[in-house]
Amino acid sequence: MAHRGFRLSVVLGVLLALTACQTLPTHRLHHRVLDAPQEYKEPHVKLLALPLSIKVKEMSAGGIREEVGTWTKTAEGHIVSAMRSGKPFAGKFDLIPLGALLEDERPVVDEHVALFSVVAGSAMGHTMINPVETAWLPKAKHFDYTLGPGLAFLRETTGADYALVLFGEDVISSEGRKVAFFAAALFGVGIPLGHSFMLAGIVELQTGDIIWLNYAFSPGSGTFRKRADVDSMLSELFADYPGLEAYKKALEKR
Amino acid sequence: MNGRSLLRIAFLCVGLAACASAPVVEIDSRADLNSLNESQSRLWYAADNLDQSIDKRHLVYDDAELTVYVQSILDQLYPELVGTLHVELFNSPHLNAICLPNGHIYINIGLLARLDNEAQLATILSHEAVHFIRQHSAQQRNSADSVLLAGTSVEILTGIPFSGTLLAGSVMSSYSQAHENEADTDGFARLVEAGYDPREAPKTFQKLLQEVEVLDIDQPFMFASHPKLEHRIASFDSLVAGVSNPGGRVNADGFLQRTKDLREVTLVRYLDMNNHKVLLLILENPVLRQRYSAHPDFYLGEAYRLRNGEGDDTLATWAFEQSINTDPSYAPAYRALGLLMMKRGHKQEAIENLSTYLSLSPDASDREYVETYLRQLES
Amino acid sequence: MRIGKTFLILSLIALTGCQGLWTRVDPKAVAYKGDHYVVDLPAGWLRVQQNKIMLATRDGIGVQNITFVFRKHAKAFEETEQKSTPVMLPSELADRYVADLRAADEHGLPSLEIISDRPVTIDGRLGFELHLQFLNDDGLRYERLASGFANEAGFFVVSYQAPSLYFFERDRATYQQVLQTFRAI
Repeated sequence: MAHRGFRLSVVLGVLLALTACQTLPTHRLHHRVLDAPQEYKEPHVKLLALPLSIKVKEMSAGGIREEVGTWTKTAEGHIVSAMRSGKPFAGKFDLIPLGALLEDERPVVDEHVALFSVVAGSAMGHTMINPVETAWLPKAKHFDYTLGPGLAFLRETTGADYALVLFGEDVISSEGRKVAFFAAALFGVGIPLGHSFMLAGIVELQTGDIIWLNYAFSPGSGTFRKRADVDSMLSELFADYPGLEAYKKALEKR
Repeated sequence: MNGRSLLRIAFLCVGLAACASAPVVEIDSRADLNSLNESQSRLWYAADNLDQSIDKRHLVYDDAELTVYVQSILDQLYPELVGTLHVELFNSPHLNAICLPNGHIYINIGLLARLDNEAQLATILSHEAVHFIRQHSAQQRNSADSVLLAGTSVEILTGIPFSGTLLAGSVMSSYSQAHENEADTDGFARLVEAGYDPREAPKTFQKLLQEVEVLDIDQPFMFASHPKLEHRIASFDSLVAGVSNPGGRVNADGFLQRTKDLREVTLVRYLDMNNHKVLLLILENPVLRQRYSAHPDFYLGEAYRLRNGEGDDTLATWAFEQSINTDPSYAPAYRALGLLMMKRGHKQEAIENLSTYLSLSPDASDREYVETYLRQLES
Repeated sequence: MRIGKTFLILSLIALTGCQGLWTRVDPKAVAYKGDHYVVDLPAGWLRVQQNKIMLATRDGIGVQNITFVFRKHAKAFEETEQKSTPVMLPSELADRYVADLRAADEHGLPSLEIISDRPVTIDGRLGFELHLQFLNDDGLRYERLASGFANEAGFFVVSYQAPSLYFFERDRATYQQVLQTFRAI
């Protein structure tokens, strides 16, 4: 049906086009955090890890992108392990695994993760990629994206107040692609190589408000297949949490 | 080193890189699944993901008994691959069937509903399974990458954008003619081996050709891509000619009985899509029409109404009246006739028919519409 | 993954500076006048023109959108190549609208469910209101309210679409208010 709007895949396409134009990353805070920052500075916030959505693909010589199941599983393992170690969060979060869900709970969680893709995709596309359109600036400054209270039941069952949603895509150029890249460069033509992208959102379970949203994007270097690169990207992603001062400065510049 | 030499070296490197792919392993038995090359494994994974996506979007038609029956045909054709080849009914009224690289075959309910007998179903399934056994997807993928690479090179050299993409697109959207020919030939052999009447194979494509011509289908679908249907029919005729004393199992009665409910479902779907062409193709054909027991005259009337050509108003009226004569308790026929009368300005007849509709169907989902129309007619 | 035209539009938006294609609806000037209709848009929402369709949204068109479509009778239902007429019954218009939606989907949109289909009055004319539900590619449920009618000029549809989870009910009243102000010209 018509009007797919922003989905993360579309936003990625824009990012790829903009790699020469801006410094990344940037992040967003819900306006409630700005209004009452003291509520969100609590250390060791209990964060529930929702199912990851990670894909690792190989880009062939001809440009075909193909997900590689074994690489995706490796990447998921690295990310889960990194998150469990707590190092990327630098003491800000206590991560709680989701654990087993009841039969009727799993579809609810899955559908909210799908909803996050749409909502965060819109939030990112309209308010987080510089330059933000003039018409969308008020929204960027008064960030109020939410998923609604449909996941509030998880507070009781897990003890967490917030949930972490993480999307990631890693596109790795094959050797043939790299050769094609250099061959094309001889003629002054650029063809895309791979990239690594992560989007993380922290959702308040009671309200569904996306209280913090950030992304990290790295064109052409780093891969989720390497634990060190995963650690690095996650650290970069969560360096700006809650990032109140940096956020205020970024708003002033616009 | 001059520019031309650089160009040659560059494309040699690229060409070598593209050609360095392991040979494709064909699946003659389950044991072969342990020897798939990297490319095949990746395609299998992609196919598993596609299965999940199909499931999430509720695209599988839920009829366990019918699915078990269709699976049993597939298992008879390929007993060595029982447990590896799976078939699902795909919830689409269009004429199509696909086989994914992981051995999952999806046959559209539209195609299944239009077949005449079990031998024709076996023709489709035996063909599709060959794409899996010969791993045509993996072969296609290797050639697609080379084509895309060539396309990229063409872009660089010509400066014309998208020419490479268009070239590659045509390769990736369907199997090649050679692959389709192989699927026809190998599938035919299985059909004969399993004891089915091979003369049904060309008939399967003859009926599809009829549909393509009548419905004026111009987009490629499974049986109208490579090669063209006429060529395909000729090819099958030739294969049949090579079989001494052709004959065997057809099982029309059993097949038609098992697919009876499915046919009724597809009629509703075609009406929902306002596809009067297909409805007329089916219901104006006396042989096909007798397979649809649930109010064929009503659907025929709707098809004439939707076609809305010269004389169709009269034909629709006749068809609805026939439906009422056959089954005076079938409410939708009264509604349809009432609305026709309303548009013609025959108020009294419109009121009678629409009122009868509501009395026969008090919980009708469109009650509010009909009550509104009645108020307009009576005012 | 259909990046295609959307990617191009987004790239143009991003690369050509800050003005872009979107317009914020000023609370002091909510009235919008198109070629064939006038309507009051929700204050603070954003609107954009895509081909001949006007869309308004609060958070992004995938999160919620109100869409305004006008088509001349000859091209009212492009996918099924059917026409509308000024005297067509609203139930028939609704029927053709749904058929066109199904025809636009490669599989005939099997997940489409008609929750309700009833007559309504729009701009003093008898029209239809459809309440539909369907699934997107990720299995996310969407709902759509589509209200339409035909007059001498052509076929009009005003629709509201949002995910079933939380959003559909949240902005439904806003849509109803907008619909009350819709006038064909």
